[in-house]
Amino acid sequence: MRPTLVFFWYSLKYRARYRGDFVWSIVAPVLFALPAIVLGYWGEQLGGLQSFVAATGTPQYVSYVLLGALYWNFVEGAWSVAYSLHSAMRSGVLESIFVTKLSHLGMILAWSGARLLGTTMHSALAIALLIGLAGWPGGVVIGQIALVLALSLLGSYGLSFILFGLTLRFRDADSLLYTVSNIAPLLGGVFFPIYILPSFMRPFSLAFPFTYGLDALRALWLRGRSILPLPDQLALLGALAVAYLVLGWWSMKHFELLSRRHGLEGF
Amino acid sequence: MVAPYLLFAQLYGADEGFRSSVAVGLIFWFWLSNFLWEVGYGLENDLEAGTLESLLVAPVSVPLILSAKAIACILNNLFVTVILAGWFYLFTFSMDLPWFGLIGLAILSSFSLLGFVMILAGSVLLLKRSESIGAVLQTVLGLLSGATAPPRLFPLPIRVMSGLIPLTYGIAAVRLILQGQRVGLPIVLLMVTGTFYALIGHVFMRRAEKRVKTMGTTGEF
Repeated sequence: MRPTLVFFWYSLKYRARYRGDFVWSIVAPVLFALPAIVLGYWGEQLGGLQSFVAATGTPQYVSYVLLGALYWNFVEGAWSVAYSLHSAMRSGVLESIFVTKLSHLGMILAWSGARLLGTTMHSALAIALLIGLAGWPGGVVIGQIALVLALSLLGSYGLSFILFGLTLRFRDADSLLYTVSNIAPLLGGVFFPIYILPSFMRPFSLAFPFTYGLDALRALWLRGRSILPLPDQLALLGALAVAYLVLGWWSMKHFELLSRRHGLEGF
Repeated sequence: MVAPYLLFAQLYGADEGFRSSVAVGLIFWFWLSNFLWEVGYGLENDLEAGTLESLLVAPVSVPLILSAKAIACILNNLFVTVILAGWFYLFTFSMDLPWFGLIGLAILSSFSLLGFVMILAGSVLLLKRSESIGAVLQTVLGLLSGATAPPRLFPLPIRVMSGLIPLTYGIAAVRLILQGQRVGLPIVLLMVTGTFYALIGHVFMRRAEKRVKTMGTTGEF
């Protein structure tokens, strides 16, 4: 436990080392949402708001988009540990970390913990905007939202195990993470309900825990409709999150074994 | 980064003209984004990997290094744009985009962004990590230039700022082609504003380079 805590502290200090960069990250979720908000304004000016309401069940397109940006910012916090691993590989410190008492799980928890703590702080501006626009959802709903986030985080850790293993084995994480970071919000319906995805993508979207997490979050906060009745949706989200976690753990162990055979050299 | 915004536009149930205009802006934004990160912020990779100091002592200037990265980035963007056209087909987005004009103007717009790229690269040399500056530049330039909505919808002060950004004229030119109109004036304005920022960026970049070389190190990471 102690090596993990020490490594968490180091990761946090490393993230906060470039203060200007750290402080400015507070605008990150808003920057992600802003282009869609402006696009929504254009659509509204062209008289398309009714169509938006029919598609999403809410006229609050700014809040709808902000919730999507916030949610993705949060779940990405866990699976983007592969970036940290890649960075450690590139700067040549990974082998030194490997010979310490720190386990791989400890590394993942420390890196992701530091990222998630940063993300939580950086979400403050977007959350304040959301409360201003959509109102405070109430204590009970906040509890349900916390449950949705916790289950989503579980699924995100499953994905992080897979990416961690793949990065160990194949080293070039940039392309992998770039692809995942771009495709995941698309599959999860970051700014839209998934039924408008092309039919060949919908099965992938429905096998993705974050699809249900984000949809439930919107249904709870904006009091809109959800894909399934909420209790069923939360149960499915939980089941998928556990499945991702188990599958992720297994694949990480598998790729770790392969990486030990091939070594970390040749980066 | 194109598809989620394009699908969001679909929610407004608008016609093909609206979708095409949005798609044009998003493709240009994608080019801008890649150009900023791969060329401007690309120095950060060299810095972190420890190869930048070797490059700095070689008889090549940083702007020359950036030019090489820019050519590689344009080739990569061309490749991705072809893939993007395939995605549009798979997503059944029915749009009649002027692909040749769009690509030609995207390349021209990329060069007009060199000033901003050099400013970002200079900030990397001075600050080592400037991801937030890159993210703000990417979004602000994209929004003001009309990547997701034309600047005529903005309040007057913001419209004035939009007029100062070269990319605004690149996107406007392709949207004019979509409407079958002439694009001479936007192209001239694109080149004039692009040259202006390239000069500013070059001065900033050379100062940052000089400072690093005077210090004799790129500093600890």
